[in-house]
Amino acid sequence: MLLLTGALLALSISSASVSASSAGQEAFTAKDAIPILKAPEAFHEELVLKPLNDGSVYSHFQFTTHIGTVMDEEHFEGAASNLFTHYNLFPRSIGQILHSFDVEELHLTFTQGRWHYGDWGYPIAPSVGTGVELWAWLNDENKQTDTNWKGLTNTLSGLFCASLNFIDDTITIEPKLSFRNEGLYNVHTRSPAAKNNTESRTNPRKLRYGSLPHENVCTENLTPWIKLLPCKNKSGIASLLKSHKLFDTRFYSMAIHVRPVCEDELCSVKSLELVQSVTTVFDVARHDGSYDWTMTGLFEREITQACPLATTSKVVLHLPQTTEYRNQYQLVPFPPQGAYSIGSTQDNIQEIAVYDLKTDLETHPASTPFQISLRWENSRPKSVLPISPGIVAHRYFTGYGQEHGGLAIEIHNNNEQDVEAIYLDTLPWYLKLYLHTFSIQLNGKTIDNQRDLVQKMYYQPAVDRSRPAVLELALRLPAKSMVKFSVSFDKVFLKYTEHPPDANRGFDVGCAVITVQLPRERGQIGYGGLDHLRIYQEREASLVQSRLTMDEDDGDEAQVIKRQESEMDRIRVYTETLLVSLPTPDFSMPYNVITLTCTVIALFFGSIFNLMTRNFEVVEPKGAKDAKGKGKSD
Amino acid sequence: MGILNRLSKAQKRKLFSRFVLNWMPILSRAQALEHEFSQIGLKSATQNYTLNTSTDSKHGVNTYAVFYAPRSDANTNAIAMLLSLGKLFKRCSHFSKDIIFVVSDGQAEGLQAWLKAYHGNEESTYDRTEETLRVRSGAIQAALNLDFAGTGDYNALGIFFEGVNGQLPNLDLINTVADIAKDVAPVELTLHDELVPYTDNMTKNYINSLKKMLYMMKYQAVGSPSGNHGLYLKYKIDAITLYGFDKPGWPSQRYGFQRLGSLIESTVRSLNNLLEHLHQSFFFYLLSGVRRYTSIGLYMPPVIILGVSFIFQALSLWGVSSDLPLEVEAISKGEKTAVGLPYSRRDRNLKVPATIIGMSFVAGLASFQLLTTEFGFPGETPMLKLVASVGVCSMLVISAVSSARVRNHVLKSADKKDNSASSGELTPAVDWIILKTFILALSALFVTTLSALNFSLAVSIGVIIVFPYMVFRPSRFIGLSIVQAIILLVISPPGLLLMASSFYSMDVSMVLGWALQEYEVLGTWLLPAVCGIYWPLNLAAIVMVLMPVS
Repeated sequence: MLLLTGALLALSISSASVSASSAGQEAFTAKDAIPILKAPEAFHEELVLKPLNDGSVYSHFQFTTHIGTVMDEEHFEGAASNLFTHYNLFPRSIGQILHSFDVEELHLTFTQGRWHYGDWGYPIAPSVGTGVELWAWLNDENKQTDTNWKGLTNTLSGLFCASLNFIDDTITIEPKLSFRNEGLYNVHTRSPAAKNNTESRTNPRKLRYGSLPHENVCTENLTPWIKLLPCKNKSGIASLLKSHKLFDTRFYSMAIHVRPVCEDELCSVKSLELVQSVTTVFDVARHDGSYDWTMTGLFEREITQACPLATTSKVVLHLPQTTEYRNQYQLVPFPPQGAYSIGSTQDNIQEIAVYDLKTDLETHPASTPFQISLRWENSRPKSVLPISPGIVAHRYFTGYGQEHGGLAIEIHNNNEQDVEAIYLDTLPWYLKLYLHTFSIQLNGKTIDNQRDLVQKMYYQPAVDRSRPAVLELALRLPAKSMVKFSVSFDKVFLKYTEHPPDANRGFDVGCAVITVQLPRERGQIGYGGLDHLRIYQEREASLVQSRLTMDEDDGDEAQVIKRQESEMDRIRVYTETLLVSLPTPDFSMPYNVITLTCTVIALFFGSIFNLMTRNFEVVEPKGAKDAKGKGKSD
Repeated sequence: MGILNRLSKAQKRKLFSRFVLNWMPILSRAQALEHEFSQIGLKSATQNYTLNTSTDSKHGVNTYAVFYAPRSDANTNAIAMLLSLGKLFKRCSHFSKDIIFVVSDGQAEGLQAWLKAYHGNEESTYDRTEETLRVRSGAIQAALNLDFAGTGDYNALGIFFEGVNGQLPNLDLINTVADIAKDVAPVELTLHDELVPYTDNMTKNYINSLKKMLYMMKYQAVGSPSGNHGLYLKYKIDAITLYGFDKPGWPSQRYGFQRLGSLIESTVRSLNNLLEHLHQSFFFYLLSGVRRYTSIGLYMPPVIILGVSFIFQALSLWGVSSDLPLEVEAISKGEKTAVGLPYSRRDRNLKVPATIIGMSFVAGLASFQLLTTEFGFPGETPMLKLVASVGVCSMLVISAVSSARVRNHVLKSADKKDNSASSGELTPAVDWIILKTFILALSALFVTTLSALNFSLAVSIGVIIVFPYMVFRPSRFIGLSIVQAIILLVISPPGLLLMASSFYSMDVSMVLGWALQEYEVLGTWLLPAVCGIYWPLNLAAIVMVLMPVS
């Protein structure tokens, strides 16, 4: 316990000095205005709603719990020593897991359904691969990473009632380029100098990644998730979580993310952040084709009060982006302070309406229960701003038959400039990949010089029954292009005991992940990923500050450029999970054969054994008569 | 072609007026369909394709849409079907499998292009171009092909199930539909497009069942799919066609779109509920009714007996060619005791028969090449090519027969010259015996192998050739030999072609063009099998009966 704290303390010192040197370059100005950490523990709840172009409604619940890990003395005296000994808001079960398995960063996502990037843009919570995805950075000081990872998967499996214990060596991988730390100094990673320094830290850490594409997500996973919340689902935004409605959606995803974060620019205040999120996409237009919705209609529950333990409690609505007819919808109630826009350039501007439940519900009792409704003229928008996500990827199997197959990956780059991307693909060992068949097509034409596109390639060949094949590529995707990779593989004939009970269903192959840095775009949801909360707060803070410093002409051009640079979001794009059918024996046939053979053997063996062991004797009729006679005489 | 099945009649009429009438250009028809799909809220796209065969060139546009299931674990077993119900499905959240709607253009080639592109085998050469698909789903599990012509009500639903090269879908798919048509959405079901009234007369019922079975075997033997569903089977997708037919004046209930729609919806839901691919071993069967099948265990023995009969005769002839005559000769020339060893063999002269067999296979392959290659000279028709290949084959027969006769003559005159010297040696068996042995052995090989791949084709070939090949032999009466040769000519491919065209009262070139098209578009084996195996054996048999007797 103390050890972990000590490690973090050491980190904080090293990076504090680094960030101090690069403090001048910092884009984030409103440090004093960010009111996140005022106590050793803090809880924020937030709901982001966004009407999507196809009439669906995106909802993202985010519950953030901070626990101060390392604080500077002036703020929190003696708080550090209390870490993981007293739990007020931070869930004890998570704290203990983190502590006992030396986990520095933990990301666990349960997803059901597919995220349609083309229609919906990028989500706030980046992990949308179908099934379960678990990745963690583990402290490797004791060289116990593998044991810890095993313990971690098994413990989480018990905690969330999921088959996470099936993430064993055969599917666990250690990506070399993808899944970098999201945690500590995440604020500072936006400036390149600080980024370099954080990576060169001495603390040995190891990454582990595993996914279960065939894991079904249901209420039994949601219930333990809700139990981690300070207010459970008794009050606050979490009271909207009704499993009946949540699972009757086009997309459902719930996650927990644990990561250490900096609370200020110098990273003198750090905290461990637990982000719990639920993301759903409601198909509003499913029944009658109408795009109108109300919050009660979506969730069938109401918010009567904010969670009393929450520091902030907000509902954020991204207003629909329409090209013309700006006032074709009616939002009730309109936030009292009015809608404002976030984003700096024309390309990435987004109008939002923020409802502060703390103030609204407490100061205006008339507004309870909290309600939002959005109605369109003629119940459908006349024109919506089309979304064109910068990077979209599709992966599919080619070929037919049960012997060979091929894998094709299409990556569409819709940006006007070249994009650096990292592609990670994990294939189970029973697909024998042939790397010499790897070919690249650019806009439909095979290219010979693959180096132009693939700048780095990590390939870990599979080992039968012990580890998967990993293909990780650092790509440079040309502007406005479609890059298609294809690889051939052989399908392995499995031992009959290795088939699952539903052998003819096929085997699931998890999704590939593309990590990419993209400029923030208009109409996209994924504003800053899990840090979007900060963006809203920054915006509010900067509004305040701009009012304060109205007459100072502080907005020099360098500042603007910096801000634009910082608005690159690291986005992960997930492809579809796939189903592959391997050669499957006819399992009923052996059964028939066994029954038949057993019957035959039983018949023959029984009768022959009987014949051979029985002693045949000729029974003398005389003796019998004698015996009878004796009996009679007796 | 694939036309729509809709629940609302108004919409049906609207669609009908928009798409079904052929005055609409192909492209705009496809676009209108695509628009209609996206209105429902499905992801839709179109696919262009062109296909140049040796007879003509085809171009078309397929339209397809994917319904992404809300409950899907993204592994997407999809059900491709030929249209609609999309709006209904969109409203349901219980689907766990994606549903793909494909409206294919043209005839089979449209769907073929779509399927190829779906499985990543799209080509873009001069001969065929298939556009890459933009919207996809996962592995397709089952397919329903809807074929409802017109807009009225229907007397019954016909099930078509025979695929390319006699492949069959899993019987459970047909059983599913049959069960649903019995209870859930009562509809009269039948096989193919023939409605037979039910009678109490057992004999009549048996004959009707037999007719249906023969009808099915005909499709299988020809290797041509009885509907578009046949193309899916190659990709291990179970598929059937549901054909709504309407027989004015037929005294039965008529079923409207409502009933048929619920039948299809129930079928799709049944498929949706499947956890696994249909996999129990019901892929080999003969259907004589919707609910009556003959399993492989019952139908295989006859064709095996056919094949074995060839082998037995081949073996006996092989024996005759060496040992048996030896004994006979020894007895007849009783005084020459030196020859009396029972196991001594006379030499088998394999050169001539082997050359004839080899030549006839070359001729068969040459005619196949002739038929399928496009030479590009003016006035080139399949008919002309057929005539050319018949020419090649008859050249072979004439040259083989004449050289055999000449050889025989030379040998005879040589024999006469040194009659005294050769007294100690036995003359080898006559060439035709060995040749017939070869023909029979190859026929056995062919029929038995084929019986496992395409039972109906094996049976029909076996039945055609069993009598002529077993019985025919060269005769001392040249007239008898010629009669045999003519019968063999009748059962040769061109003869059968002529017979088929006169039976269906069609133009010969039409039938030939159809066979070529089947091979080029769908890749059926009928033409290669006939040219590569059946015809050579037939040629060899013709040569055999015309060869000298001794």
